[in-house]
Amino acid sequence: MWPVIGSLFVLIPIGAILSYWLAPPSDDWSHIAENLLGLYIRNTVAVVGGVGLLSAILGTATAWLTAHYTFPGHRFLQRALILPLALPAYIVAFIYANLLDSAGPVQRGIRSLFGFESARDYWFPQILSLPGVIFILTIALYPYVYLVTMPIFRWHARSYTDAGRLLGGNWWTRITRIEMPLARPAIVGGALLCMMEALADYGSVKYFGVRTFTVGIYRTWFSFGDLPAAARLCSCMLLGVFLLILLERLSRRGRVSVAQQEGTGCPATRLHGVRAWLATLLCALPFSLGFLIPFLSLAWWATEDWRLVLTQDYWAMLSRSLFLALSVSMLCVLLAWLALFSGRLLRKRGVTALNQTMSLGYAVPGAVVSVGILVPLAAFDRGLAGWLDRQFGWDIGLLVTGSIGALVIAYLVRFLAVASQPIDAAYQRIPVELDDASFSLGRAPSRLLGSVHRPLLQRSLIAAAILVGIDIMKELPATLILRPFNFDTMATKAFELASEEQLSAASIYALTLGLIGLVPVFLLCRYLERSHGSAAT
Amino acid sequence: MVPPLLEISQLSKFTLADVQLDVWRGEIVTLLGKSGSGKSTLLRCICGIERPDSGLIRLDGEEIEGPNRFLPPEHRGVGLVFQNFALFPHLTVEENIRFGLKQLPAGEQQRILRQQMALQQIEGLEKRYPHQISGGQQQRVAVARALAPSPRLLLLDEPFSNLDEQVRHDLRIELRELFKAQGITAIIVSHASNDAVTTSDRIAFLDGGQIQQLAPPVDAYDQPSTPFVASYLGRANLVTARQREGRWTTILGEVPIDDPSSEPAEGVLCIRPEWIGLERAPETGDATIQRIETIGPQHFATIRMESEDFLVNLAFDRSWQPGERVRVHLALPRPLRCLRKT
Repeated sequence: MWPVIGSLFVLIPIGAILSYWLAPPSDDWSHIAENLLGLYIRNTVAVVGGVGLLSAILGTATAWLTAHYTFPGHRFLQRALILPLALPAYIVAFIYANLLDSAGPVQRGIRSLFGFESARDYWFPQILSLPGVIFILTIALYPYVYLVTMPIFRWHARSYTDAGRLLGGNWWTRITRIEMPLARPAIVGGALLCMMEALADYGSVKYFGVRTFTVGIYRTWFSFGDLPAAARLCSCMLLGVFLLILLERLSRRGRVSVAQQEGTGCPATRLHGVRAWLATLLCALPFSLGFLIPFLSLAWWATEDWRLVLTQDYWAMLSRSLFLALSVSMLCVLLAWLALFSGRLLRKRGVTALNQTMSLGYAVPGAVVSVGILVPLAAFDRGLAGWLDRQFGWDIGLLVTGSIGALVIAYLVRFLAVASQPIDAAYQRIPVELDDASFSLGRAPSRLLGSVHRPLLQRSLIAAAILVGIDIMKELPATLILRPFNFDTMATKAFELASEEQLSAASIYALTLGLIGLVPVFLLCRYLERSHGSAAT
Repeated sequence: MVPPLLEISQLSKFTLADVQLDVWRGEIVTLLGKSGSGKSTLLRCICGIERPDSGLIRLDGEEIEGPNRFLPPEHRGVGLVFQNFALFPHLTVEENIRFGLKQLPAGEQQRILRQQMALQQIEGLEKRYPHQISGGQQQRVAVARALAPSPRLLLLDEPFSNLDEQVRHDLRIELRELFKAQGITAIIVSHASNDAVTTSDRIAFLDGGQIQQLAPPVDAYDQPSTPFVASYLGRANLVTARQREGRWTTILGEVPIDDPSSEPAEGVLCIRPEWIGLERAPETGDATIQRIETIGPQHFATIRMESEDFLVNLAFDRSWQPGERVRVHLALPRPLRCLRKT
């Protein structure tokens, strides 16, 4: 039952969106299709493609350098390169917009340094632009590529590169004929993850005025109030998502995974002189751009009038956000756990397929999920209200659509996959024979779940709850679309204040989110070190 | 006099302390030891993918590792067969074997490829990927790949550990014959004494970061120099011996000692179970059979003599029973040597 429920959470919204193609198109849709669809497609493809390509280059280059060489700051940078993941991209976007626009400190500095009177007297790249969005999303997302390729260069491919070296291969042969072919599936996988995140992004593109699909969906729903047209836009976006998933699957096909090979973890080569400092610079740059500069800027702005912001309202909102995130994350973890447990007990292909469907939810952008939920919920609300009106003459309005319930469902759809990944990984490490032993000793499945699996999975369950909780706190597009009237989370408040140019107030909320975002990053660091610690020494 | 092909002196790294080792041209030497004894570290230092903290390595008279010089692995002309074989998973068998031949003309590459595939009996697998062939075939490909560039020295890191018993047995005999026929100098790392005894000309026993003994397998079996070597190569009775008036005696009887003048007045000897003979003596016997154990087709008796237990190999004789009184006599193949304390 649980795998079915889990997968329904994903399948119903997708089905609801696709069902709108059966209905005749609305007038708004004709307008969108004629005038805007091309623009949305061009911008989205440019953003997604640009971010994918640049993240792959940046992530791979830094991973290769830190895996093979030691240089000043090497140990710190090896971990610090993951830190940009702590800050949501929309926050990095609003920071750079304020740092680099004509009234920002950078351009003010240039004007005072060179004696220019106005921004028209010199050339400066326009940050609020399509390349600007690509830059922001790249520096925020490249760690996804870094994280999956670094272990391959450092540990898994090591015995192959040693073999290549002993067979007389020079460094160029080793890179082109051994390391890159071995790391290619991981690089492609990481880049596709960046592309999915870029596709789902709403905050950065909205703030930078680049009209992509997410902006279009939001606008169609809030400005036109046209759910069918929004649903059609969502289905176009879904096509992109499925294309990316398909590419990811294809990139894995025919490739032998090197991740299962235990590496030998040879010590890295020490670089000296200019080369060493160049390596430091190359690795420090993405970390500085993606984390250090934004974080310091936030801290600086936040100090300006923190007294005005850190009021009772702030603490109330923080506790509300935390409570919402924690309770939904626990629900999410419970549902994912039960679904995986059922899959394990039944050991049937169909159940595994259902559980895989459940994990598709993370690939579906928040805006699409929201519209997909709105469609059936609105139909349900209308049906219920009509029935109550006919039967009892009660006018209850829309019961679920405007409530927190819709938001909870959206979070479940989006983040069931995030919860199921660590739990699934932990389940892989528990031998199935343990279940059989428990049954042979007369224990019922519920006892197996409670007294055998729960203690063994405890750490993973907690980690899953933390990861999901933080993702919920940072989630923006779904919250913006589905939140009840006058309901704010830390993310929506930060985004709204930033949109209203209230820099200092926005910074405090953004800084809070950034500090919370550091938790999963530290978890990731520890996981990386623990899983390879023995090989590394 | 021709110098050794490989000379290692005073090499230290992690657990290894002041290791000395010479390997002669055409010789097969096994580094035998438990996990953590440093044998793989030594191998990796020889091929250059790890650097020792101190020490000197010469290959063919040329210093390849030392205080003054470090020759990178790609220029050493040393081949290595990895424990997990490390066959490039994205390249076919043919591409794997050709990998180290890129500097040669295509015709020459083809000739060597054919030759190696024939030697390793892996013809027909050229277009297969490593994951499409068996463990035994992967091992053959790994050896072929390492031998293709004609290395001066071939190193093999636990080459038989990933194979099942039958394949393992066949391969170690084949490898030895191939190395001898081709005049290949090889160093094999292993933790299994059977592999070492079957394949090697000499075995270097590594324990506590040092080479305990470097000797041909038969010499090490008959005259182990330490208790570690004695027990690593098979079952052993460690018996105390005392010197009196130039004769060495043990509880089991008088024993000849190799070079007795250099030995101390008391020492420990290794007496193998098959060197002890039993004779039924219900009345006059000085030992009692405690128990009989059967290992494969062979039988072993534990006998008790003056409250000390000894293991005796009864070969295929099933007639012995626990409780029987026996008389003991020794049949040593050669003089013994007192063990060094380790």
